[in-house]
Amino acid sequence: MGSNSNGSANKSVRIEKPGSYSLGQLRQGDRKALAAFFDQTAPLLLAVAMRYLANRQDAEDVMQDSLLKVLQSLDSFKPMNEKSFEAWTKRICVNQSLNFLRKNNRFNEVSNLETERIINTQADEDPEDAELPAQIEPGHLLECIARLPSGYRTVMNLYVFESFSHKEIAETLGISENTSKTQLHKARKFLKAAVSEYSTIKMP
Amino acid sequence: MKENHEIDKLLRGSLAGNAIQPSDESRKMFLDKAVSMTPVAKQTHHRKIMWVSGIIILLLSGIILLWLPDSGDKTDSLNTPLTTTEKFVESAESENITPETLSDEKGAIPPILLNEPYPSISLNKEDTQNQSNLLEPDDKVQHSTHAQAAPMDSISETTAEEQGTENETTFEKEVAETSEIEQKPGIDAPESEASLKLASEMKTDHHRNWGISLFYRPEMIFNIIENDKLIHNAGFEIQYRFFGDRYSMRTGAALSVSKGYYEYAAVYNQFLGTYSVLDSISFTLAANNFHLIPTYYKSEKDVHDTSTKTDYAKVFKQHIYLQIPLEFGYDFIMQPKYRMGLRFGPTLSVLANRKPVSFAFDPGKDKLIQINRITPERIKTNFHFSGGINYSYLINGFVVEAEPRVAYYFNSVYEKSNTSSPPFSFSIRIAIGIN
Repeated sequence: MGSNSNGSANKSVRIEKPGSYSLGQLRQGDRKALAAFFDQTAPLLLAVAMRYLANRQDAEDVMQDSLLKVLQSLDSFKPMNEKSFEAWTKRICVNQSLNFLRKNNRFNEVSNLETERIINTQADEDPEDAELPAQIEPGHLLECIARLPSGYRTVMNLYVFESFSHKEIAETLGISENTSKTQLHKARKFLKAAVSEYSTIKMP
Repeated sequence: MKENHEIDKLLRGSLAGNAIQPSDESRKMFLDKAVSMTPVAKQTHHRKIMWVSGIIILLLSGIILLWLPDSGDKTDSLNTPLTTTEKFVESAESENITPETLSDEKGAIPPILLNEPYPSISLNKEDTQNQSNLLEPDDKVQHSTHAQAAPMDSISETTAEEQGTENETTFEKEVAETSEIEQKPGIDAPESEASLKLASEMKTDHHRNWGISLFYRPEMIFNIIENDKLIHNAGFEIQYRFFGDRYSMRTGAALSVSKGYYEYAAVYNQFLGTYSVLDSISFTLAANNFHLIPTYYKSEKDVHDTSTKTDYAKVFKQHIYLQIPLEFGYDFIMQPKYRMGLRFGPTLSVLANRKPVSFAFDPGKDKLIQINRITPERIKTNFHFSGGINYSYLINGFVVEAEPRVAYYFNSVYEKSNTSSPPFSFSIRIAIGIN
């Protein structure tokens, strides 16, 4: 590595992975690279946005905004490896999702009545003994998450997937730590019940 | 809290790496937006604006240059007729002028005089008639083409005949003034003829307002990343002088050549070695010995380290910019042999060519994962403002110029404008031209 040789650097600009792209190409607005970037990144970001927003249309909007934000912020990205880029894009998507919720004032949307009733009844009966499957179909799990009120869903997402502490969640969402803890507790209970119900239905 | 961890694990486990395919519409919309918002697209738009503004500047300057000759003559003829006459009288007093000496000495006449319009010379009626006979056909044609030539002719005929008493009075005044000239020693009819010839030659010297020059301008630039400080500029310029030659305007085209290093961060998996992979085996039946003879087909596979490393590579690139200056000048010292004045104005630079000159990076068998540009790319279109003091030395119709200059670039020469402050430069323009 590092020996001098004329004519070889042009080759070096290519990344050997087929269908992939370089950040330089993205910066230059290379359409093929942008398409490859979308094909590889958009599905991951859409899944992230779906966890937060529950609504497909909103999630696609947020995904779009996130991808554009990634392109705008490419210069500030300090690459370590490919994984770090993916993590960075996901983080941008999370922030965009939070912004979307904040704009639409959905942090305070703690309940829809039916879910609230279910959660409250579940709070009394502890499903501790309920068996959880090792794995569950992502589509169904997302459906369960989507049934959570937006506030609960956001807290759960930040805690479980983004590894935020309750203090950080409280600061991010502008709520108290206790509220964060309560909402997480209720969200877990609801999800556990929903997942147990699903696995029961699935079992013959 | 055990169950809580379980549900967390289930969530993470089930949704890790989850991907949802977005709609085609979404994909199309993203691509359209992304292409239009990338720096290249923005720059293309920016470049278009720069080109249009550059062309407008050039057109405006062209229009001004075309318009100025007429307006300049009018101004001179209206403002300075008497002065010119007086100067002629003075020169006539000081020495005996003949047509030959006048034509010889034309070059020594101060430039301000060369621009004086022909009709400002006052002559008496008879002289005018004689001189009109003496004038060559070419001269007549030339006079008639100039707006200022008409009053000159009108002195001879139309003023007296067609205009009334007032005009006659004016004419008489002029006659009286010219009679003074006649009374001076050394002024006679041939001299009037000579002054007419001189005036007509002065008129034909109108093209002297134009000049063309070739120049070379080495430039030392600062506030620029990894670039050679020295930039070479060379080109040609056309200059037009107006308002008694003191003011000037020049434009042209030049090429600016600069070279610099561009640093890249190459993320790669190091090559560790190779191993043989068995692709296939074929067997051949040995008929005599009743056994199979195998043939092994193998290929070499490279082994790369799974951990990534980063190496920094440098590429030496050359940039050629096309420069279009529009400069204004004012000469505060004007001598027959030399001039000194200010020159200043904007210059439009457009990137014409960019090519790598040398490489200092060879990945060898290492597997490249990613290459990131550290040094930002150079901007494609830019404006800078420059000014300097011009020293011109005139030799037999040629002019040699030396012009120390300072330039300030309106924005960074890099695409990422926050990378560096706007550059500035010092240069010296050396030019030779025809004046």
